[in-house]
Amino acid sequence: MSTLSAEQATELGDQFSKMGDEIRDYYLGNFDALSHEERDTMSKQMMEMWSMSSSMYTLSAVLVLDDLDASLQQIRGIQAEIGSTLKNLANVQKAIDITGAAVALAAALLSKDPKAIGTSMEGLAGKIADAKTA
Amino acid sequence: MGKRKIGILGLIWMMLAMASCTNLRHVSDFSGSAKKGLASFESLGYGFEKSCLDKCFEQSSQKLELNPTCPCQQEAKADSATFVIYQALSAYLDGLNRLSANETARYNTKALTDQVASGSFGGITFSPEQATAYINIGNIIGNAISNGYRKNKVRQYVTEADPSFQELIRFLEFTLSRNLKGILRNETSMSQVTYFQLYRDPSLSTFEKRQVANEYFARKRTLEQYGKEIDIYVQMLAKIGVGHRELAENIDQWSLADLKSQLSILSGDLEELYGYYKKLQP
Repeated sequence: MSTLSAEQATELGDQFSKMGDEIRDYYLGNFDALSHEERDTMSKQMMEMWSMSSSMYTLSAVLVLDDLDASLQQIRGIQAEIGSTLKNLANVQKAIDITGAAVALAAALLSKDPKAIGTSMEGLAGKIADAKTA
Repeated sequence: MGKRKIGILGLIWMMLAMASCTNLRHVSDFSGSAKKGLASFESLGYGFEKSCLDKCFEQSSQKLELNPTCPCQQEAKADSATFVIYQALSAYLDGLNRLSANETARYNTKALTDQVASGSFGGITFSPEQATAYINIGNIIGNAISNGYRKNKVRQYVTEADPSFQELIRFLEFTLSRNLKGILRNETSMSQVTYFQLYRDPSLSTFEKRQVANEYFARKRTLEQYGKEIDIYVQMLAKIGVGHRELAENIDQWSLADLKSQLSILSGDLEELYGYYKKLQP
């Protein structure tokens, strides 16, 4: 059973299901002509067929994972890379924050306004400290 | 700054605006719709374990047994396996959506631009036109750099991921449309026979038979509802697969109007299917 593939298990599920359906069609079509024993036997048989069929479908759903191991690993790897890229984008935001603070300092220096220079220098120092602690 | 400088600023602004038109909107829209459609998985009314428990409770009810032991471990395992595939697809689409969304890389230069706009730098005063041009350039430079970076990353990831993405979509479709639908079909057949037997039981009165018939019709409707949910969900999966393939195959032609149009149609189809799906929800 361990060498059964997901597709094969599903195929078996289909076959058992069809057998159950065939017994059901006969059972319902000839119900009045059947003895109690025959009804009981056929009822048990078709329920057993559908039950086995469902077990095969369930087994297939579990086996699917074995067939997909490589794909799952790859897609998870790519997803992790996307996460890391998004982190880098957050770092670009920090770089832009720093650049923005530097531009503000340059504008303040050009204005020769000591108060604006002081504020801008503090702003730049703050942004650099933020980036280092992140 | 004189009029000439404003003119130069305007020209630079236009050039940068054109350069930054790396429009990832179609990727973002598609991955957003795909993510939403895919997430309907979590509201599917039917599952492997549920089918097992339904069957177990129905049999216990017939035997008038109030404390049944339902061995459904294998079915729970099948649900987990299916969920693992769903989760991998969902996490990937979420990453792709965030990477292609404009909000991710729209850098906040508000603190700086507020200062510029207010002309608060001592001797330097900015006219509203100058301030606007300055602010726009700041934003566009930031977005142009990041858009180029994002474009390359999106191209790389979508192309690399497509074969695995298609395989996972195909197996999720397979598990739901063949295995889960198969179990649902079996449960419907079992239910039909069980209610038929009750209906033909000579010990039941006409009133009781009518109750049995009503119960059967209600059960049949519920099972049909589950079937429709699965069918629509599988259709959504197929659209998601086609959309991703379109994206991967045409990703080097970013300006291609056909790709955007195709993805837009697929996003529309997905939204429509999602609407049908939501209507089916109880």
